[in-house]
Amino acid sequence: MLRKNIEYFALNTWLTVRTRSTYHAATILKLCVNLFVTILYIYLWKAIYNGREIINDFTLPDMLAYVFLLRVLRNLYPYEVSQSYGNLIRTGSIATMLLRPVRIELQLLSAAAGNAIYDFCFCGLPSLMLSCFFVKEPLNFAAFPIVLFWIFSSCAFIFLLELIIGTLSFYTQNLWGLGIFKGTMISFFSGELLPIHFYPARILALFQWLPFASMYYIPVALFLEKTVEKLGIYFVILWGSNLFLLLIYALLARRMIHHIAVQGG
Amino acid sequence: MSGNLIEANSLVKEYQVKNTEEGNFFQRILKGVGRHSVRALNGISFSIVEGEFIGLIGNNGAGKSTLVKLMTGVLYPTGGTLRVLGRDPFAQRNKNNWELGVVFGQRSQLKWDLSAMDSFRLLRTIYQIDSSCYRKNLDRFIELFDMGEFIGQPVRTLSLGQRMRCEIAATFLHNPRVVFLDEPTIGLDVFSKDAIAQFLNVMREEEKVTVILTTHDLEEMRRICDRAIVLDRGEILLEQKIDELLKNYNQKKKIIFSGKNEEFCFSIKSDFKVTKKPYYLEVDNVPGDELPAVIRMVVSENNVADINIEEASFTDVIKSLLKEGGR
Repeated sequence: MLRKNIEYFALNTWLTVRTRSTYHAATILKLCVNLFVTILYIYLWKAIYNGREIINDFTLPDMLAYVFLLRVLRNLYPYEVSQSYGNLIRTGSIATMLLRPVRIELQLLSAAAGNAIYDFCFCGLPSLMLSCFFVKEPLNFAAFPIVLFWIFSSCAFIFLLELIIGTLSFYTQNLWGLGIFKGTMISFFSGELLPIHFYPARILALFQWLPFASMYYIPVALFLEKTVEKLGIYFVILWGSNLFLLLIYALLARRMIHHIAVQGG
Repeated sequence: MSGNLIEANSLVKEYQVKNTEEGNFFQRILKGVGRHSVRALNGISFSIVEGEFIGLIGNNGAGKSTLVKLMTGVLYPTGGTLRVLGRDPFAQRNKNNWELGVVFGQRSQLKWDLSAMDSFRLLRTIYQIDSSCYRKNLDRFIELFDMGEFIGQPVRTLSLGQRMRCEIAATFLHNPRVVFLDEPTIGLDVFSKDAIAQFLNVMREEEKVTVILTTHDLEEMRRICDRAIVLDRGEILLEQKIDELLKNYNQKKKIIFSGKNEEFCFSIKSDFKVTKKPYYLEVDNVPGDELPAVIRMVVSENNVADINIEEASFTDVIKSLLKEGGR
């Protein structure tokens, strides 16, 4: 069974990459938008620094590296899962997925992995290449294994969160409001909008007890050799959250299956 | 399992439906709306044995698709019991999935942007089909459905008929024991319908598969199925072998005469339904044993050039059945 699941995961991931690659115009547009937003961030931060060498322990090159890495990470996280799940429920296509002897979570996970690979190749890598023109200092590649582990843990966190939000569409039938709420929360608490140590100390203390900082701030800070205080606490919070979300999802999924109506015919 | 592959006893399915017309816009937003239950299946019982080809017939909203979703384990019953392959299809859906094949005519199991071949490869991995069996089935289906030309094309570029052939081939790829075909021919041209009917008849002869077909095309059902279950508003109106059904309902025939008389003379007083047109006479509702007498009388009194005896089509039979049901 494990072998079958691995084979299925690998094949469906590859087929998702191939599916995405059929839409050339969409790929080029996404690549352009990503580069445009990255450049926009660069000039925004250049304007903010405006001759100052350091703000909150971050030099301008640090901040630019932060922006580039953020753009790479953003394309790795499976943000589309709740939307895909919601669409499956709304259109009734969930029926065909439920009738395969493969867990629906594995079907969604392999599709998310395919999307992540594709987005990394066509959005993340170009951002990294662009960074060579702006960031002169080399990144701390010695931290790569721990950063990779942190990214993997955060992917698990986002995937579980997305599954839970997707499951809620069995009740709400529409995820529009929930999607906006989720996006805002993540942007604010994760350091995607602003590195979290830019916030006042009281808010920073709150961030420490939430798993969101592990998504962007921690891996990027580790790459940039910044001191992250109480790293262990962030780690425990992240994996504690993962286990908690897993439990919540298991409970919700069990209830949700009784709510399926399969729309239309 | 008592020899039955599928067994339903007093099966009930109710849906909870929102009262969307309740209150005004703001009340609906702030207070939400109430719900009422709609009974899609009302205590039906039936059984299906291995190898049978069953046709589920009924008007829209009769409960056919709900029944298919219950049998596949996508939905759970509100009441009664249902066993498919000896298991509770909802509780043991994952086990049953290995032995079921399903086509929902209005949904696709194929990857829209990739070729049907890619989807077949994925199904091979999902069902762990060994390579010789996969190759054998694939070659056979390509030949039966004449899919060679379009199997490598992206599914979104296929015509509806081509796509449905691929969908049905995908469903049979893992040699399922039970196949559910929920309106597989909806919107298809006669050639595609013909190809599907021929394919299913080959499957009946060569495999031990059991097929449950829902369709609004009753003549096609007559070609494919052995037995019909007629559903109406969640209840079974009739469950009978299709041949017997036609025989029972075809005891009365229609005779059409054409000839040189501008107006045909017809003097028998009976319950026959008589339609007269210039050079044409139609006598309907004639019992089989009265056929010779009627023909003899019309021929003796008129200058008849041609006689046609017609039986009611399967469609007419089902239409009259549903009408007789008082619905």
